[in-house]
Amino acid sequence: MTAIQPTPEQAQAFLSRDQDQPIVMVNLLKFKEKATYAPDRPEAAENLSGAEAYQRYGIAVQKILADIGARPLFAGTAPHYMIGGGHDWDMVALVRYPSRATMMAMGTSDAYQAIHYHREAGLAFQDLIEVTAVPGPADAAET
Amino acid sequence: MPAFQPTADQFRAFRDDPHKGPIAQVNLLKFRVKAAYQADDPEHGVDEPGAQAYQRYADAFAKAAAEVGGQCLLMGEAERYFIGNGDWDAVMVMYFPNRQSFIATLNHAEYKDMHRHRDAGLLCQELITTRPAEAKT
Repeated sequence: MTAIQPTPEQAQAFLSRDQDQPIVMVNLLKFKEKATYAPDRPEAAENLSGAEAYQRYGIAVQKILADIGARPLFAGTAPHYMIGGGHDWDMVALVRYPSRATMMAMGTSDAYQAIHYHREAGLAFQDLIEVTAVPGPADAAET
Repeated sequence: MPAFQPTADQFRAFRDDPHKGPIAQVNLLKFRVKAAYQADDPEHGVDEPGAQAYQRYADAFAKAAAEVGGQCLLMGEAERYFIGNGDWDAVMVMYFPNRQSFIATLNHAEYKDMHRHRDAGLLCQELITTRPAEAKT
């Protein structure tokens, strides 16, 4: 079963945890071959790939992340399985949020809603794993 | 499809990849409920979670990796899947300046010694090799 959004149960579980705790979200991403913009979007005429549409989302979301104190830790391309196997992912991306609350607030903000159509146009499906980071070099760099 | 080691084909594909630049190894980890050390391991019989045994491996591996420019970008507990489905206990992401430095870490003089902690703690995993588009170092 693949998905692009949390189920109501997944959203509820997220909200039931400590909202002040910092988290890292691990994105395993699969893009559409061709972007699927709604016909009334100007991008519909550009004949973009799903990866190109998602890249537009990625660029736009970085500004929003910076505004809320979140930051990308890492993005990796050309993923392939060295141990095990699963979905044929196109990208792995890690984003650190200062708290669960900031991630939820971002998702419902007007600024985010305004760019989300690029994600919908480009993303075929994804896994999104919520990780509570053990303090390490990535955290130390901030302080 | 979780596993414990690369297949011969997977290892060859990694070794023969023409990519010269940095890599990041994304580990999706499932631990044993209880650590399972072998009879001749000094830790044999300890009563501890597999996660604790694996952490010894992760610490030693990160130290060995640092000698060749490797760095741990993330080691954290997987709380849940927010989107999609899976059942991993932890996610560890290690940065290496190139594929050779990863192989050098596997060939480190102390690797055999540290590997018993991986055997004791790890039930299965997936390892996804990626090319960092941007890495905070």
